[in-house]
Amino acid sequence: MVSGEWPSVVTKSITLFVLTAAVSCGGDRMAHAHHSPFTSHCLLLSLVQQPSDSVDPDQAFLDALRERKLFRLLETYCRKQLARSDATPVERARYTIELANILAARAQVETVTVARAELWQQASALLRGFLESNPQHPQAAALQFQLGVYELAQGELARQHTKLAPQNKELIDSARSRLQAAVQSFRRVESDATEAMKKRSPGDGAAGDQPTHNQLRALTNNTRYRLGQALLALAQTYPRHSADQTDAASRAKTFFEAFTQRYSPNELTLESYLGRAECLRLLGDAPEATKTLGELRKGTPPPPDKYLDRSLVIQAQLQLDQKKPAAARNFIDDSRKLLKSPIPELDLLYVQAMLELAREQSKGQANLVARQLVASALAEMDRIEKEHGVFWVSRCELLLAELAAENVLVEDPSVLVRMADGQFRRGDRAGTVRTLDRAVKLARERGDENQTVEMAFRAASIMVQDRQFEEAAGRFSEISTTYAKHSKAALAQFMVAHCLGQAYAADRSTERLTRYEQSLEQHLRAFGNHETAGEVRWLLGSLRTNQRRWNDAIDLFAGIPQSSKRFAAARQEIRRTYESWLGELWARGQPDEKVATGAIQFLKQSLAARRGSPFTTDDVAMALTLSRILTHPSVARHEESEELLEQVLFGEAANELERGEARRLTVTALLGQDKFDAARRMIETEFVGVPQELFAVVQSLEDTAGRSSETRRRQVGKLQLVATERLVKEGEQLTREQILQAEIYLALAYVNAGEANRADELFSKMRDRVPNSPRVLEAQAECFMQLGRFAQARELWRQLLGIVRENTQPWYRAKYNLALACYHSGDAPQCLKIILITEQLHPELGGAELKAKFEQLKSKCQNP
Amino acid sequence: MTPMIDVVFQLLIFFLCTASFQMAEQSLATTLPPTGAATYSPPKEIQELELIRIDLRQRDRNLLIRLNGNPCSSVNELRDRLRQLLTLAELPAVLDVSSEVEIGHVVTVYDTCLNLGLKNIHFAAPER
Repeated sequence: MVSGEWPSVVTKSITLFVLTAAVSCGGDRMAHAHHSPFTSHCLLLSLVQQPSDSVDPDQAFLDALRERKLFRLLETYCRKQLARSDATPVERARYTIELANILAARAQVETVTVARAELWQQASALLRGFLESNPQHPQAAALQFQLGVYELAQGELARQHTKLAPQNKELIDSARSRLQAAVQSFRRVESDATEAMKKRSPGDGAAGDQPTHNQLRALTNNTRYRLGQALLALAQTYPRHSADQTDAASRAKTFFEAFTQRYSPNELTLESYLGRAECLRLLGDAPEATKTLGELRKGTPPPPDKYLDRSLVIQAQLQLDQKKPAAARNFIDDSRKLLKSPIPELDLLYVQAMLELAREQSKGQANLVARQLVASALAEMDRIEKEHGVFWVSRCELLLAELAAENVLVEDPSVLVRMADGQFRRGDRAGTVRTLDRAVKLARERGDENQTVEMAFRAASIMVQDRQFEEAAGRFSEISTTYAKHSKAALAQFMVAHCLGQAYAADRSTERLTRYEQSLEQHLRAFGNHETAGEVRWLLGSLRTNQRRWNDAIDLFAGIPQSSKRFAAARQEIRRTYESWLGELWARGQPDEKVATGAIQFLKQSLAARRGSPFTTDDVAMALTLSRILTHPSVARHEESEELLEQVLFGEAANELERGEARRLTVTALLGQDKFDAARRMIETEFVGVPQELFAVVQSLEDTAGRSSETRRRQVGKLQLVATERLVKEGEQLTREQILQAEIYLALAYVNAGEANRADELFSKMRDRVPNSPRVLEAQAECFMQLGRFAQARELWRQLLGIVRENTQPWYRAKYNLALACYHSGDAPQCLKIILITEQLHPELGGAELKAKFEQLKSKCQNP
Repeated sequence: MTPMIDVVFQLLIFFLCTASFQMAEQSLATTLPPTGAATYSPPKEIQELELIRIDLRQRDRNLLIRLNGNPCSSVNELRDRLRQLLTLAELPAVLDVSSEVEIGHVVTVYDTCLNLGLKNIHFAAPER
């Protein structure tokens, strides 16, 4: 099936073919001298508008818009005029035709098939609708004629489509039905116009809206000419020498002959000469066709070049029809020397002639000559592709495919490649791969390594486009292993990884993942210095990150060279990986010194490169990550963090979220240095009107307090009070959930500040307001744990276990804390029982972090 | 002789009246708790541990057993796991039996629990 995108050159060529003939009244009495609306309707048949002598401002406006190709404005204007309730019948007809012409003009420049068909349909529907509602309209004949012209244009376009898909029955039928519809329309117009002419006399002038005799005659002539065109186009859709073709061609010839009785330089006559010659060619009457062309060429005054050019095409075609490819080739060679610009049809026929000759030579066993001819034809096709575009070269490729279908000269890889190109353009991917495989086999037999690899690569790439990833991976793998020293071996191996990655994305099985991983590793082993290695490292690094193999991931990302486009992203990935790694270690309470040192070193190196220059967005992310690590209790390098955060806050690159984070970290850094006053000032001045940021600060303060000694916790608690009281005051900006959380923070702040009674009161109020709230219960239980009131904590954890769903994180946390409360209450056996039973019934124990905690507590119980 | 026969008849009548041939139907709790009503409240120490929850479902002729959400492949596996648990503490058990499960399977599982020494075995009330 032909691709949806149709080269505009084709639509333009059809435009010229179908719509260039202006109305002619059998010679020189051009209707444009008259200014009646009927005449201008006929003129509108051509897209090449004659400048109007009319002083009608409306017409001038329309002409001006049309000249500038402002079709949308034209369309809007016409629709507006048609919508007027006071529009006269003449105006309705005029604007209907104008609108139909606009839609037709848009259709002709539209390259998308679906949109084009819709525009044609709209144009036809417009006219058809008008004719159905106004069958006796004086301009009905002109409108019917216009309808015929649209059908003819569509039919011709469809016929051109079939040249690229000659086996597509649907396309051929569609073309034929359009052309037959055009013939019907024109016949109707001819009959109506002839009837109308009988009622008028030759000398009659315009009578109101009724057309004059001359105008009717002009219309009749043009209709007959169009009938000839439509029948000729119809004949060209039938198989050669078939009865249908002969019938249609004969009828077309009759119409054309009416205009070729006497030579005249007007377009209609000249076109008719060519039409007649073509009909005679289809009927197999070469001498008569040649004679007609001779009459055209010898006409006085001589016809314009474009007609002479087209006559050359028909002449060449005649020679090919008579099985004289050598004569045709020579003729075309000579003709081309005289041409001012190349004619695509002639070039196509030249290729056809050479291929015919090649076919003849190969039958006579003169294969060397035949091969040379094919090589010349291929060179000519390259030239055609450059000069005339995809449509014409695709037609040449079809000729080549015909040759291949007869098994003539298919042992040449370059021929096969060309054929494959044609098949690919026609959307026949499976055929393309088969043809390329044949080319590969031939190239391999000849020992041409480059061509073998090239063809095999192409075939595999097409399979990738077709989403046959497994098979494509196999092919690429074969290329990279068989031709390991070839320059494309690395790329082939990369494609193996790409295909296996796509296959894994489609079906995430373990086996596919393993194969994908192995292909990536294999690439790095074999082609670690190739330009694709950077991308492979990125892919494998990402995989390792997902697998939580942090160290491997960092090594891979760090190995991406600066020249790779992934370099900057890789640096950020290393940052994120370090952060995730440390987060995991901290959550499990595992040692982190080595990782933290590595992370700090990396981040500092990344930032050191920017020394002296303001931070960029990437640098801000690096700086914030570094600050988070530096302010972590296990690292506790708060002063360095504070300096870094100053740079972030005073720079321009950080966005609001990042600034908020920087401010929060600054508070933590200040607390870490025991700068409580500075921290208080910052909380009071910097976090105004930003409750979300204050939330984060309050959370940080709670975390800090949780890790602090008793004395320090009180000081932190006082700061917490300052922050949370403000947070609760800004209650109107918070949601209900956030208000509850803020109150919980306040209660925790009371506990930290040593005001446990106030905390109890607050919890009591909260529990009255939201009884059985797991969050409140959990917070209160944690407070009790902190205050050493383990019996009360135990009670609350027990209640919480009854409320939260089993096997959820809060449930596991509650289980752990319950066990902890039992342990601290001196009931180690109960603690041990809880842990062992939970272990038995829920082996996963809520994840790695909690599992580690359970294990720790268990060993404490078992080894007091 | 007559008094001897009288005595014998008296004894016979006595033993006939006092003999029982049927076991009391008390082993299997047949009275299910009304829906939604909690009839069993374990002590706090037991609450802190965990209820053993055995879910029984049937698909075709296969019995599907889950122990606190974790699947067991067979009654034997269930028995092994329960045995391990019961070495740690005397836990109450709740049997949640779906309506399609055959009574034979229910009795088998129940007997398994009994044989292991589980004393507090309750049936979960059916959902409305």
